[in-house]
Amino acid sequence: MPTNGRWRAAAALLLAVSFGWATIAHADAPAQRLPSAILIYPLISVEGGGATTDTRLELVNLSRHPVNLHCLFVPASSCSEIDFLIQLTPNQPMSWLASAGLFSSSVTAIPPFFGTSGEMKCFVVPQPGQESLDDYNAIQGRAAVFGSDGQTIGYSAVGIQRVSEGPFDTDVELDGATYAQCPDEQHFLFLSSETGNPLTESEIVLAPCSEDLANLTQTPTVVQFLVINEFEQQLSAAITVTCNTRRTLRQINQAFTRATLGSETGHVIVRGVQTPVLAMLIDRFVTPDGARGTAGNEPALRGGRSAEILLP
Amino acid sequence: MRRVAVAAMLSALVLAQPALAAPTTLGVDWSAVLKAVGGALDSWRLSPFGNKTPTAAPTRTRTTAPNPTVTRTASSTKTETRTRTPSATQSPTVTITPSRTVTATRQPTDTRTPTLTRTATRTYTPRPTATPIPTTSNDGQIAFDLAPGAPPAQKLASAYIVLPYIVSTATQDTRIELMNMSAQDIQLQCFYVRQADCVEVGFFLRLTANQPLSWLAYDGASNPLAFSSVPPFDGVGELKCAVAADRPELSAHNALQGRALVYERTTGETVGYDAIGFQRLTPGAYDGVINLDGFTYEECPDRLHFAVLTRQSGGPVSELITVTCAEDLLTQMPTQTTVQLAIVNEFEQVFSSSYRFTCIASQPFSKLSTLSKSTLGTDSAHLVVRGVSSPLIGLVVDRFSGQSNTLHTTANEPFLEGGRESTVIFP
Repeated sequence: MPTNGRWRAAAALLLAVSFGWATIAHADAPAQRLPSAILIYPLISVEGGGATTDTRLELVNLSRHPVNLHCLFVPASSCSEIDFLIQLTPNQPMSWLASAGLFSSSVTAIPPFFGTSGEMKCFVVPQPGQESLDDYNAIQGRAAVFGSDGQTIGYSAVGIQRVSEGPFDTDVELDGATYAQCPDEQHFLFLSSETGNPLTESEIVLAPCSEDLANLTQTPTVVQFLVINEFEQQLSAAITVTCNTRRTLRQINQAFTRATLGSETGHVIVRGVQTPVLAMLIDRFVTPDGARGTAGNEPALRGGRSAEILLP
Repeated sequence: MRRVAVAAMLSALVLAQPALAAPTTLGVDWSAVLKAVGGALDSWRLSPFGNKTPTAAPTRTRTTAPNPTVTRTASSTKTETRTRTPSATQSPTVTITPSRTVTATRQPTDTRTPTLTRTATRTYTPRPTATPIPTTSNDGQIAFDLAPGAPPAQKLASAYIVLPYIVSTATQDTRIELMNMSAQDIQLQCFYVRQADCVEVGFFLRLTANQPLSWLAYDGASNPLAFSSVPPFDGVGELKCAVAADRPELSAHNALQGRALVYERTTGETVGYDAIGFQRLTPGAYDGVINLDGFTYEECPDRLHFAVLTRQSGGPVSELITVTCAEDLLTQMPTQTTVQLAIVNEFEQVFSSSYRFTCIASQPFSKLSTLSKSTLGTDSAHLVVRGVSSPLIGLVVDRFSGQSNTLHTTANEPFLEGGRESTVIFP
């Protein structure tokens, strides 16, 4: 009996340690700027057939083996999807204009994207039998949205790494066991909105991490904002998001304005309630000499939460 | 033979007894006694161990020991290593080996967040490099098959950040933004290093819990209530900030993030980018020596990968900004390194190039002919950047023509591969 007791104690300890580890793993934010298995481009914009606004999309294969990608474009207007396949040779870079699409080989055929804006997701689909982490974690990408007025928003795609080997499944689980989790909190430094001179009017783009693209069923989620000014005073706001959404900070709440905040810069923590969300800011400001400046503003990440993407 | 010798010795001693009892009075011949004893000992030494020579040999070897000692002198070279990490690091260095064992156990310490991810990272980090490089040497070449080490995980609360591109001139300015991502006050030690002469200007900042802070590089900032003051910056340079934690816990170190908006005053051409962040991996006191060794802090990335647009003839020119990871601001000895570039076009063809610089460099694509569309034949390229004698941090400023030939500018931040050790020493 004493021996059994010891074994039980050891087993319990092992379980506790395993559970502790799992719990820890569940709190991980996805590390960025590394070769990834999933890329999410939260902002793609095409206006006037590309004459007013267009987006240059860039992908790069960081591995020395060919990579097949299954990509989907989700227009914000309809929350539907258009999917296509891309094949990249070892180390191959690739870029195309969203308004024009790309037809480069028998496998790679990218349709032009329509609608004012949307998001794109790309998934590495390895060959059967070649399903190691190296086969999955191979790509990176970025995008530059540019307008005829000279405004440019450049940003890197959000990368999600595969964390365990195995076959690709259309039920993509961002659970920290199959793929890395989605970020729980996203921290941004933003310029407070100001109407006078200088004019500052930044925007935020939000996309839910979980998406059912197989059944095209959208689950709305509440997104909470905790705003902290330079005096450590805290304000909050919230909106509901169904799929890809783009709004000015002022449209969300007056908490983002200089008049309310009282400081030029703010720190905002963005968090989805029902499902984690991915976000990026578009900094828009006017220089002291009156020129307009624009830049993509990517978040710092904290913590992780599980999400699921269902592919058709 | 042995018995005879022992008998001679004993008889000599017996004869000497009275003399020992009354040395002076009896007038013993001491030299004879000693000679007899010596002879006996000598013969005893010889006979029992026929291998007298071997016995002597070890002795000689020991005499030779000075040579090994000389080797130790070489070891004193290691002392240099200690010098590099002044006194404080010395002791830990000795302890390091055991500590690393702890690290293994500590992966969970990685608990902080990236653990699982990082383990995976290490697995695939190597691949990218495998690239199509023609070289087989791994001695400083950009072409190894594997880039060892782990790159710093980005976009997480960090203990040390670098903003590689700050401009403060009559025509351009930079808004620098920092934020405290923790629920406790933090103090920062920051240095602005000017590209022109690699000279530094240092200052301290204090951020309250979750506080954001921004200022214009041209103007500087001052807040006497927070004991913070930032001098105006001058020219082109880089900014490095470390969390000067007053407690050893990791949570007290990993709390900082930042970004910069570099803009042209009259045209509004803007380059907005995030700082490269390094997390602290082991608890301990902050001492101004930042060991990016994968143990104390995360390592520097070994290679930087960029997806870039190739230069069109007559079109705007992009720039590659590189900054050395290793920096000794204490003795003001700027690091110099060669940068190797591997460039892959859309047809998987590989080109290479290189240049040399000290501390900070802005290299326009016009000086790198291999990055032109006429050479590469494609609109985009995969650029791999590696510092030979010091790892690098970098950024590309993308410039391209859009609708109706409008100029577009944006930051292009690198993807990271592998890790290499380097040290930053603050005064």
